[in-house]
Amino acid sequence: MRIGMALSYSGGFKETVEELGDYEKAGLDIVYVAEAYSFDAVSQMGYIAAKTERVEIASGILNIYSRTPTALAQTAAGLDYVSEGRFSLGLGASGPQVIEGFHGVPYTAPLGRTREIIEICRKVWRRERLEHHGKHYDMPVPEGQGTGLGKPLKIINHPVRADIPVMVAAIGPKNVEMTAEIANGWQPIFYLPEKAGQVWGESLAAGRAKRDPSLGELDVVGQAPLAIGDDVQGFLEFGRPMAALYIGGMGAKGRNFYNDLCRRYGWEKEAEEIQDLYLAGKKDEAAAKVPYELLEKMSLIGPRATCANGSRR
Amino acid sequence: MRERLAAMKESGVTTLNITPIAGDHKGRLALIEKIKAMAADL
Repeated sequence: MRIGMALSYSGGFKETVEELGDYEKAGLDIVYVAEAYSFDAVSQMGYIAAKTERVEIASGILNIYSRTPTALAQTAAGLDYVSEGRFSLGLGASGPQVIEGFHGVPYTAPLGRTREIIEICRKVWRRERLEHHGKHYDMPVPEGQGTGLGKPLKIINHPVRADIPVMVAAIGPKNVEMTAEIANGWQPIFYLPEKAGQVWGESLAAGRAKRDPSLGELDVVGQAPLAIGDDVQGFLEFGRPMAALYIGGMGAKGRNFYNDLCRRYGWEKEAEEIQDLYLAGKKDEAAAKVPYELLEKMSLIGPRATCANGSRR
Repeated sequence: MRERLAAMKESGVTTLNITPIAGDHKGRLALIEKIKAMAADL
């Protein structure tokens, strides 16, 4: 199993990158850089590429709406170049709050767009003359819609790799199925190993059945906070406000992907209560309703004694 | 921790994206060394 680390987008980036040299010497395999509505991830990943030698670098994630598909392809090729083949393109739909609120772009057809974007990126990286006429993207722009001067171009430079890994952040059934079909990797959130099969098993199987074998095995990227200390419950409580934010505060009633996931895990009553309380402004009360089992099962947190060398617990 | 790591692996996780929680660089480095060793030992 490879070990990766997520960099926070809320501050301390440069300081963390100074530490990355030690982490990559310790064997850290990959570092994920988030973007959300913070500083752009691309600048930061270029900075990491210059400051490190071996660790892989991935976006975790770039949203599919705020850059054109070709700009995403160029960006990935550029980062793969400056990192000497260490980059993975993590894509995701983000959510309407950020896409429509911060970028002013309608949040439409996330699945169809993701599929076309991946197709376009791979064409660019293979240095094909770019002609794509899909449901969501047209390049060159068809006659009658622009100046008529658009040309099918291929990227000027030779990308380091034509098969830059593409990972998709997905939790909905159809999105997970598509990811297992066409992506190199899958980045779920709130991953509970004991319930993953129950929630995503069918989608993964359906996607894998249509998967091109040349893509290799799907890289499944689990996420977990990691801590060692005797106050296990205290460490677990760190995750409670964030879980409440996602389950309760992201999206609206009936349109919150994380709340849906919580329900599919079997916590329907809790999901309802968390959302009602959070949307009513009662964040602490919402956080208190987050199931302890959810926090516990998606974490790697243990007391010092049981984490000592040689312990099997 | 080892049990949770094994559960991740058994469920199909091939890469584990961790957020190390420690007060300083030395603590975070120790966590990364520990989890790398545990993952190699599974």
